Amino acid sequence: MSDWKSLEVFGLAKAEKQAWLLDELNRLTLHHQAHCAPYANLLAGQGQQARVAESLDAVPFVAARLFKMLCLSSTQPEDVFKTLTSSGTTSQVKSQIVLDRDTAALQSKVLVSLLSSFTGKARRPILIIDHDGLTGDKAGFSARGAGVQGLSFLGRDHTYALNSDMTPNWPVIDEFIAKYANAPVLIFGFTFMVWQHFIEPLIASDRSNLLPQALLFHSGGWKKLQDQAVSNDAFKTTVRQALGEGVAVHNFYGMVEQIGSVFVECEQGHLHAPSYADVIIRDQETLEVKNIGESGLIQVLSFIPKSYPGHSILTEDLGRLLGEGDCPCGRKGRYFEVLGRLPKTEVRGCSDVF
Amino acid sequence: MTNNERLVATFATSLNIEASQVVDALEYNTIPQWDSVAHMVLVAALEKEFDVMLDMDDIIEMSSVKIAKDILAKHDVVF
Amino acid sequence: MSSNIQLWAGSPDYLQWSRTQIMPFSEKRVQFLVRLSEVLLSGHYSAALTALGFWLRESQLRQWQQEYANDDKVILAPVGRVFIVSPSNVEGLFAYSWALSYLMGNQTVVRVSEQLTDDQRALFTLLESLDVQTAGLSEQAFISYDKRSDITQKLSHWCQLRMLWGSDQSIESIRQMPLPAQAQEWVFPDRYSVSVLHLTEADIPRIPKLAEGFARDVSTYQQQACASPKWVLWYQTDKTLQQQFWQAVDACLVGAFPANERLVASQYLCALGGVKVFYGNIKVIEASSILGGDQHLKGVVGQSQCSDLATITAQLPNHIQSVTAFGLDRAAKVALMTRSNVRQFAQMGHALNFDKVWDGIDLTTILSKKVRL
Repeated sequence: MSDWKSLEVFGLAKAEKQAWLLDELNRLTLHHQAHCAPYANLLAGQGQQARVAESLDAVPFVAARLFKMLCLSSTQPEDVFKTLTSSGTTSQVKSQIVLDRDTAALQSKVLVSLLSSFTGKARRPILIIDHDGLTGDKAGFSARGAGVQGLSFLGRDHTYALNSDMTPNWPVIDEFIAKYANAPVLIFGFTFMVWQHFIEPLIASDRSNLLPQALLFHSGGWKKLQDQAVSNDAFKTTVRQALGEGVAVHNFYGMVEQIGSVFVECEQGHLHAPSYADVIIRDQETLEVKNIGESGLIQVLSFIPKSYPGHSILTEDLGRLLGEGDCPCGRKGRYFEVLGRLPKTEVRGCSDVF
Repeated sequence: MTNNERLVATFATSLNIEASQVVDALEYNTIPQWDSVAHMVLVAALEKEFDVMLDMDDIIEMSSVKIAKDILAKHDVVF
Repeated sequence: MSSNIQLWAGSPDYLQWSRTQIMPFSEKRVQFLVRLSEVLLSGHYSAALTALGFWLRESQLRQWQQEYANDDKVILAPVGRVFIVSPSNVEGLFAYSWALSYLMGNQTVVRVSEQLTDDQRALFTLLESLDVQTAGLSEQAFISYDKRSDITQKLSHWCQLRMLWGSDQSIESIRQMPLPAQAQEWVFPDRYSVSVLHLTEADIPRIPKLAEGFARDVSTYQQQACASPKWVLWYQTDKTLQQQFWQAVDACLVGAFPANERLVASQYLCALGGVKVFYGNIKVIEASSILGGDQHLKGVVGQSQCSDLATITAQLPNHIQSVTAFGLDRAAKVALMTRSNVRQFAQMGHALNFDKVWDGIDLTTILSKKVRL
């Protein structure tokens, strides 16, 4: 089997990709079965032991929430390099993702390879819409920090745009702008932070057309912006107003539980599965596989997670499969859109008691 | 009004059905109107109509019009 | 910051209420509850509120009145000022404890969580309108406030009895607020409930009815109530009967639990060592003993096989509350009870029926005092 590095990021045709990814995933299933007792139990309990999947959709999946309820690790405690936690402040319980050195390194490498297919190989100056101090503490490493760090390999002259109280650090921003106004730069941040703590203040301060050659990557969900009725299109338009008409804006979808394999938005506004990862849409009620054009729960597959059984995860996000191999942007593989979170189940007040 | 007429009227009002439907053979959960929620309304109404207090076992056992009569008979309501 | 107090029904000046001479089962209060019950039973309310109306029906109130009749040695009197903190998972529960406090003649402040459910709104609207007609709630208040507010502290200082319903965590956090020496406290923390079933061939005709009851017990509040059964301990029951039972339960639970919840819950129990034995509208996971008691799972029931009562009691956690039982005689129940912390038994289909004796505590008794003459 070929090494992942030899694969073209978005270049594998359906059959080749199936063959390569399926083999990787089957190997991971066996690996985790042997090294993570709760995972082995889970397979056995569901009657899935010793099964080699014959297609991607037959690879057993783990419900994303399980990572919040259990510590699922295939790594000996002495080999734990760091433990990622989801940074959600709203949910009390956080996901715990155990990484060893190899998996952590692979996450960064894959992320770089993926994103550099958009940015090119040259490392660009990067403006990070966050504050410095996210990546310091290794033990309590947050996913936000990991995202920032993974991306930072892509850039140089890392500049943090915010103060620790989330206000724009104007002197630093202005200096970055002055230095790189005519150079290709990278900007990275979480969607709502980019909006609320960078773009809005920029516009309010009457700064415009500041970094016309920038490429913005942003991620982290639309929930907060939807609440303010900011659509993806409106987001792009406003970003270009502030930074320049030619600015490239790419959203990407990824999970704390699968850092490294992200699904980046192309010029058509479609999220693309790279060669190393895939998505399957499943019916919310029956969990059956859905076809192109249909929506349901998003299942994400990735060849990266070796230190924890996260190679096939059923998320609680809803999405729609838009197509496979035929996006006008020219990228192969599946493409889809994210529709939001699975609504929280309400407690039904049908106390049918007499 | 006889006790039987009072019983039929109470069933009809509580379950929101025609009096003609209230026959001995009518059973709990066999018509949509007599579900577990309506059952509570019915029991409360019967207790009020006949000035009795049914215990939990009676309430659970009261699964037909006939059985309702038998249970009320235990409380000295004569049919 | 005691601002941002929302009053849903009753009167706002609770910290200034003066002492009154209302006694338990005062006719005015009985009549208020009777009226409340009648409206709730009028057919225009949800099943949960209809159940509340049923519970407060006049014959029931009169029976309690008789049960607590004064005699020549003892007279029942109110405790005085009662502060009730209600849980958010079982949104209707506050009404039951409040009604008993009210019936026993107390001044009551009930705190509910800030996000009201439709049922709570409907109930408060009704209480308000009855209050307008009768002034029956002049010494009662139903309020919400931010948990960081100091109002819990004020009310803890104000009350003579503090009654806390909720998770262990929320009870422990409220318990950080000191209670004056003269005040009493009763707590109703997290509990775990199971079902113990003993079926024989002779019970086959009863399986559909038992299954319907079980389905009701688990679907009500989506298994999130303390008294909802989460595990079935099969006591000397043939596996084919168990299968029949689950098929019958399954038929009653179409659409009761979202697929993702069932998946999460069953995967969790499998990861802990359980094995899936039934897969449908509810998932059944078998293990040799109770698993996952500390998680709030939905749409899954565990089961284990027990050949004698000792294997049952050995599995029951310390915070066991209700045992919904079938096929156990009195001696078996006593045996279970004496070897574990079981606090109540319930019939199939009635696990969530509130009773004034709840969690082993007679609420009418603690909400009143017995004055010797």
